[in-house]
Amino acid sequence: MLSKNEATAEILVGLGIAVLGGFILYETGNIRVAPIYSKVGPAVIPYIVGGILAILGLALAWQGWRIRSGAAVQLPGLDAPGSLLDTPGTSGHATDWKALALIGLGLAVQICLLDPSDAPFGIDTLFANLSAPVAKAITAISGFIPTETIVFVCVAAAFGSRRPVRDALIGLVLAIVAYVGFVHGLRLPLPPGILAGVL
Amino acid sequence: MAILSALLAGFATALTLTNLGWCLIGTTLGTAIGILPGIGPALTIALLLPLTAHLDPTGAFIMFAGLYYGAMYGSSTTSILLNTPGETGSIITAVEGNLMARQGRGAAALATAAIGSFVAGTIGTVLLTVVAPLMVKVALKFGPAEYFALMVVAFTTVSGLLGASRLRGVISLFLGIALGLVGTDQLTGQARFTFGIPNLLDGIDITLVVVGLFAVGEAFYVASRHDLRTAEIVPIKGSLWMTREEWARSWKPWLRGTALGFPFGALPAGGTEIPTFLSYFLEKKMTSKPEEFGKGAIEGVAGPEAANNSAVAGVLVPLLTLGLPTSATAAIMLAAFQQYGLQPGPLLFTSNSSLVWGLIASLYIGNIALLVLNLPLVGLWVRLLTIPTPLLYAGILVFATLGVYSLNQSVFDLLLLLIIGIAGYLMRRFDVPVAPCIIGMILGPLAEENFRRALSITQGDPTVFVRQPISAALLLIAALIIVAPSLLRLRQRRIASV
Repeated sequence: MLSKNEATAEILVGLGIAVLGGFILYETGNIRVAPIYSKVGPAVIPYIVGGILAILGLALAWQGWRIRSGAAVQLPGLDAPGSLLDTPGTSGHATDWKALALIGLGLAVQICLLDPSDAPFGIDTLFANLSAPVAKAITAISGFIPTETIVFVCVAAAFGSRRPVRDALIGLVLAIVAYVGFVHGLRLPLPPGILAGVL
Repeated sequence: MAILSALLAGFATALTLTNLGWCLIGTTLGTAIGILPGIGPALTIALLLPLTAHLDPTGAFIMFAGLYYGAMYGSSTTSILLNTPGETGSIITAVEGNLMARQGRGAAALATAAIGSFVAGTIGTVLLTVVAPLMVKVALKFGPAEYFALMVVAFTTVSGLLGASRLRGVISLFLGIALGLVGTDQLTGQARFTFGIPNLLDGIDITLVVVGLFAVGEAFYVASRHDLRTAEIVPIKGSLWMTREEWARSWKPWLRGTALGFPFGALPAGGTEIPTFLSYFLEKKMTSKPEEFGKGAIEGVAGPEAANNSAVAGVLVPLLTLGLPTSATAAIMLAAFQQYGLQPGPLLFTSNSSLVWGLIASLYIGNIALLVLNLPLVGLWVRLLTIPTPLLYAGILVFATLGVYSLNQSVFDLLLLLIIGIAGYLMRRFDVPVAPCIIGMILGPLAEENFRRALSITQGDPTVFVRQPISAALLLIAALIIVAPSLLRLRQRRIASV
């Protein structure tokens, strides 16, 4: 049985998917189609996919609306909550937002610092215009090994670890092993950061 | 006896020292990832893809197939001792198997799972050996219209058979198809949905999507739920040598599970989960001791474990003969074929027969290796379960991002990975299944290509799909699969109202 909050969430998810479908339809209008391909060109399938997604999203929202207003009950599937095959993922559990934020933080730091010259959203130019001491500090923690250590510590903390120093040491060793293995063993380049020329 | 000589030639390929080595690496790695929660065969093969790009394809596929088989063996150990299925195909094992372990019969549960997996895996491989060449003969008759219709059938089945709602499955499928549209159109060279970003011109890499949904999304999800983080390991008790009674109660479920699993894997009917559910309910009906079900019945472990292994053998039939993946792992294996410039399908059996038959022969060898790895050596593997969850997931994410970064050495890919990871978290949170999305992403572009090829052959006449008998029949099946559940429900309602 879905709670009222879950039904509201279902409406929102459905509307979100419908908006995505509408966006695909809008963007498909921008695909230039050469006249020789006018019958079955590159825009046909995108129109179908966008249209179907919009309809499916609306259908999900409608289903949520009916459950919310009590006009319908969620049909129990094989894995309905409480049944034999109740798979994790259903309603009724508190969400640990702090854990989500910690993992997000780790991955965001990685995007900014793994290779600052290649960072998106103009972060690269931002870094390039920093004063020398700040830039130096950033270089010190950029590159594969420091960044992955940060990711490791953040994720471990998100999963409830309370020993950041131990995690940092394990993460550091793992990152060094992976770096050496990839760069020297497999010849796949990784950003060296401050360790350029050392490892 | 063409099959037998082809298979013998396959053994000649598989028994070379290098390929035996790949088979052992694959089965060992597969057992490990099957046992470890949070990492499965689709994710592992995706992460291995960049590393295997320069390997000999035969060795790589022998490793991948061993890994897929091995994951099914290993995940039963986790299900039995931890009550957390390592893979979706072992959800059922987590029910009865864990109950057996709690009653001190864990060793018997592990034994019936491993031996059942071996029996089913071997029979499944024999069936694959026999059925694949027959399928090739059928597949040779397929043109673009038939391929398109076949993919429509696959779309209807992978998205809709199981789960909280069919609607969510179809949504997941179309999200995947939409992701597959990004990039340069293969037939006209026109850029689609690239938003002027050069990194998107080559499309979004399937590895990135698999890692985003299975590693990042999964990590977000498990971290957000305190109740999923801790699980208690039940120590193995009892003898790994099954008693006479346990053998007597196991062998029939093994065979029935095998019989159920193979066709479900082989028909484009959606992976390994459904046959395990069916096998469980069948054994519950057939048993002479129904009172034990829900309390730790050995039949409830033997049947489903056989079913998931034989389904894996079945999944390889459409993958190799038609290029049609029916599970997330098969989808990523199809991407691996594409990476090598190989197109799975009937022609692969003639153009790369040593690869195909070497692969099939290595499955026989792999099954024996897996029986040894998972029965006498099970005690060693159990130690993997003692890795603390925080370190396990931190390690998975470091290697996941490393694998994605090394695809193109591009930070932009890491940004995409985070976005898809958040999407994966939302999908898990709102019960949208992930596998249809992966299959949609890899099959979408192929379906579109065949759709447009078929139409351009007939100068845009859409009746081509219903005028050709095979394609018409396939589309009819697809229509029935869409309509049937609603009809059944209607009938139930009518019966209920009388």
